[in-house]
Amino acid sequence: MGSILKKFGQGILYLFVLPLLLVAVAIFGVYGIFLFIILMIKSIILFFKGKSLQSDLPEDIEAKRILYPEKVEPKAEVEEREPIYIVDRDTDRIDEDRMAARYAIEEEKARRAIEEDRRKEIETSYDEEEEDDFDEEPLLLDNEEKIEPNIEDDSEEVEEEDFEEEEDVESEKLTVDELMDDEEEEEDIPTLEEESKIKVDDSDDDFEEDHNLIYKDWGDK
Amino acid sequence: MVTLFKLSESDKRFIIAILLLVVLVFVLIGFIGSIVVRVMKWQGKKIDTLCRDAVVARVVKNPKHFKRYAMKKNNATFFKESRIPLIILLVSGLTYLLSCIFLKMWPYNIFDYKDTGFTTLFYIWDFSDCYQEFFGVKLLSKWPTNAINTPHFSVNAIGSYIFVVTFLVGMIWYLIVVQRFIARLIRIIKLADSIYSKSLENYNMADAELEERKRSMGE
Repeated sequence: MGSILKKFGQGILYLFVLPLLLVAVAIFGVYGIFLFIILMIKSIILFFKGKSLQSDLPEDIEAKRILYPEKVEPKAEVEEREPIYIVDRDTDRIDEDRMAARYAIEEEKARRAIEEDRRKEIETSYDEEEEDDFDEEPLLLDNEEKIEPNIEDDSEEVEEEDFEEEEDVESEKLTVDELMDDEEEEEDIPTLEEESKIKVDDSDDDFEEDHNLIYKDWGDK
Repeated sequence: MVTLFKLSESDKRFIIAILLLVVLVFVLIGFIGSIVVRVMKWQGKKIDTLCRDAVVARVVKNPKHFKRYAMKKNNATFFKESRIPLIILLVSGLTYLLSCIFLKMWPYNIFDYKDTGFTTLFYIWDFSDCYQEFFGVKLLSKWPTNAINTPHFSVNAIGSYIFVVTFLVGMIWYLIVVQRFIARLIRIIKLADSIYSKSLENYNMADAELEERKRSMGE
């Protein structure tokens, strides 16, 4: 009974206060529209700055840093590499110079492996191109003549030559030991007879002809 | 004893019935009001979720700072919640405008029951003959018998149908959002007072000293 009377009293109160409450809601409704417009402009500005209105405030960031440090600052995923320790036998300490040299060797190996892969790729692509060219040869009838443009042929030749040069250079790079052996072979000292032969070889017919031509020109003058 | 008027038994019963009805109506209003208050308290709890971390981490250090911080959160939440109802209201406004353009009626009467209004879907009764004068006041004395309009679908009223539905949905939704905003605002004001208050309620100096001594003896 008491609660019903209490509700009855509250009912009378609410009935009298209701108009005021409705006015308050209406005022807040209008205020809300203005607030919405202002916040929309703000959110557009923030959007072009790469932020959002819903993003964390400075207080939130600070609070997260204090309460959940692991979430805010996650451990960076670093690519771990097994270290190579070289210990000096005499001193029983890590020899840093040798370790650096070892790392340099490892890097050089990796670089060479990459170059080797590239070279193989180039070779395979070249082979494929050749095969493609062969395939692309047009089928001709018996009466038709095969017309090959000279420009294309030249360009192909040039490309081939370039490739050969590249191959040579790479072979030079890659087979240093072999070249060293070749140089040792070439270092054989020529005899006097061989030198004389070389001199004789200098007096070729072509050379003489050239000189004669020059003399002839002078004689005419 | 002079009696101004005598009430019969039936009159007494009638008056008691009316009084009970009035009490019931007020109790009902009281219940509805208390439900609204409870709902608003529940809606206001949202601010606890939004501001909890900053308060617990003691980043927000005084009531003024808390009010400023919580209001920013409240505004952002209001913006997020009010987007959809305001878009619906915008759609209803555009529908009204397009109806005006297509029907070439300025203004376009949405209450017209003949052709263009949403009231074409309802019965419209003729109340002109239902009033009688009672001590100089015109009062409704009987239920009307003539219907001016019976429900019918009108193509010209499509705009008003859409407008009324979208406007009602959008406006009610928006008012609920505003109510939530007010609820959070009240909660912010209450929390700003309660979080940083230092109360000496139920604190007794002598008891505190006694407890301190007990602790030191125990150690």
